[in-house]
Amino acid sequence: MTMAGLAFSNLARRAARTLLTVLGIALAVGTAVALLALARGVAESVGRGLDETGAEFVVAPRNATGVLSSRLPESVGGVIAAMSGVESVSGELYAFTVTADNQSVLIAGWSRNAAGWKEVPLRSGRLPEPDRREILIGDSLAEGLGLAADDEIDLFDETFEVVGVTGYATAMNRSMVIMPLAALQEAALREGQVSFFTVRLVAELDEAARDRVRQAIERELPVVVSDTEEILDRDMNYEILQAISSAVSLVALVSGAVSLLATLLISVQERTREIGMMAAIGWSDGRIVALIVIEGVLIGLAGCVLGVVLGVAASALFDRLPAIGGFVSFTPRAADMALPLLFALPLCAAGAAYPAWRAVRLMPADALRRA
Amino acid sequence: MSEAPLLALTGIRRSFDAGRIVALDGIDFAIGRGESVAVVGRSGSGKSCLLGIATGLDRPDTGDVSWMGRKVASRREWAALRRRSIGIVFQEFHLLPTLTAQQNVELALMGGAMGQSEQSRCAAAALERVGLAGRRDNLPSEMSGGERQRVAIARALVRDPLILFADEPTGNLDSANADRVAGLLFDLHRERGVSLVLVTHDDELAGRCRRVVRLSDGRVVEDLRIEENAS
Repeated sequence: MTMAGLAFSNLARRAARTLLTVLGIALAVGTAVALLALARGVAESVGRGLDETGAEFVVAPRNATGVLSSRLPESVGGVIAAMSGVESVSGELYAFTVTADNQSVLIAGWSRNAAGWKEVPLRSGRLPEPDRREILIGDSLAEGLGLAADDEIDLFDETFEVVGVTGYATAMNRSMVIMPLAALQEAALREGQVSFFTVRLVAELDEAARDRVRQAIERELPVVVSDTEEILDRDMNYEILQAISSAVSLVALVSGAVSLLATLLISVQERTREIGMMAAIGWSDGRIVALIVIEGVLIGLAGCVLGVVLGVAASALFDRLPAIGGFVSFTPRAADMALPLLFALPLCAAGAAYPAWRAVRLMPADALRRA
Repeated sequence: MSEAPLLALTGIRRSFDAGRIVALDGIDFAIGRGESVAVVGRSGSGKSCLLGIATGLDRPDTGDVSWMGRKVASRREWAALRRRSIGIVFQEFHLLPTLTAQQNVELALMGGAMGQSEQSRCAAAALERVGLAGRRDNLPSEMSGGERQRVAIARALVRDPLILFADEPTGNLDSANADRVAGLLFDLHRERGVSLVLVTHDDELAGRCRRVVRLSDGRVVEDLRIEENAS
């Protein structure tokens, strides 16, 4: 018989309690997996969403707390466009509003020369005219609101005509409304402002030359230049989301470890005489501690495996819910699963260590006398 | 120079409840190789406490315990001694309920240098020695009290100890099973030369030992060697 076999036998003896503890840990790990997937999903949705609309670099205010809520004078675009190596500059304004159905909607306002207009994957309808209150609507949002081309929608207390439905791939773009920049500036009372500029450089530039252009833009203006995938790196809202996700994940994992601690404490207390017997037949303190820690790690492993399955399943479910999946992609990756496991298993071992220490603290004769 | 006793207790005092209850009060006691010793006395005389101290399951307030002339003090040393040289059988068997007889015996072999198949072979041989070859795969709940006690004896003997302590080994058994278990213990003592220390209320069982140590109020009041009483 092996130590793992004996540990398994001890856990199987109290199957219901063991299963409940496994479930507690699984819920903790599943929560952590889903939250970490959420945080990453937000970043990816924004980055890939901008990629999809043809952006190469994003130029945002240096001290902005949130990329979508940041503000830059539209005139800065002319300064950037005049720089050597810059092919095109497009000001983009982003704003959130609510529909008459009380649904939050992200609105993008693109300048006339935005490269994105040329790459809009239209499912139906046409592109908006520059000076009219016309919009494109993402297919996910259109489906949710029951809208199609030629319908109307009230945004910012004004009526806009839906002239086309887009078929982007990313969750953010599928739920986004796009309109001409001037229309959004007027409707959102942001005249002369953009959230950031998307920039395309001359295609012939090599990597070093591209870096020089980026450095020149940052030197000349109070801005930061980011790749689209780095766009949320300095976003305070995203940092807060990440911090909340990490904190809730940690709390969930610690609560899982505490439930394991409670289970093993009760188990060890019930088995005090058994532990005394093991000492009586020559088991060293270290071996007894190892047995109890193995029991904890076995429960932890089972909880982690089940937790990852639950986390992935929950993420898949969230992804399908329009209210959640419409905004962010919820696809856990290996890193989202590895991090909780890296925390959970040592926490489980630590949670088992205290009951184990209590188990060998008594003299064997005292343990054998216990009822 | 005479050979050091297997186990020697010197000046042992053990009290409980902050010294208000004195269980052992200045015990000097030695056990030689191949001896059979009965420790007798009324309930509360300190018999089981003496067994605890002599096997390192308990720690004296004062006094020393030596194994073959060498003082044993740490938990680690005691665990190693119980693993290699001291077997203990309890009145209440202390078998793990979810493990079979074979697995309960194997518990005593786990963690050593012995491979799994060797452990299995040794445990099977020990069970065969106590007459339970056919009950290897039975759980304790499927066995009689006598059979459970024999599993406990097999577990205590599987490592070939030099000394076997048994605390009221027949206390929970009917007379037929008690006879069988007692016979087994004395057979093992005789055949293997294992020193046998029985803590018992049973005068008949005590009478089968060559030495009877009587305790009263935590002191040795009689230490009788019965040379003519062949075990």
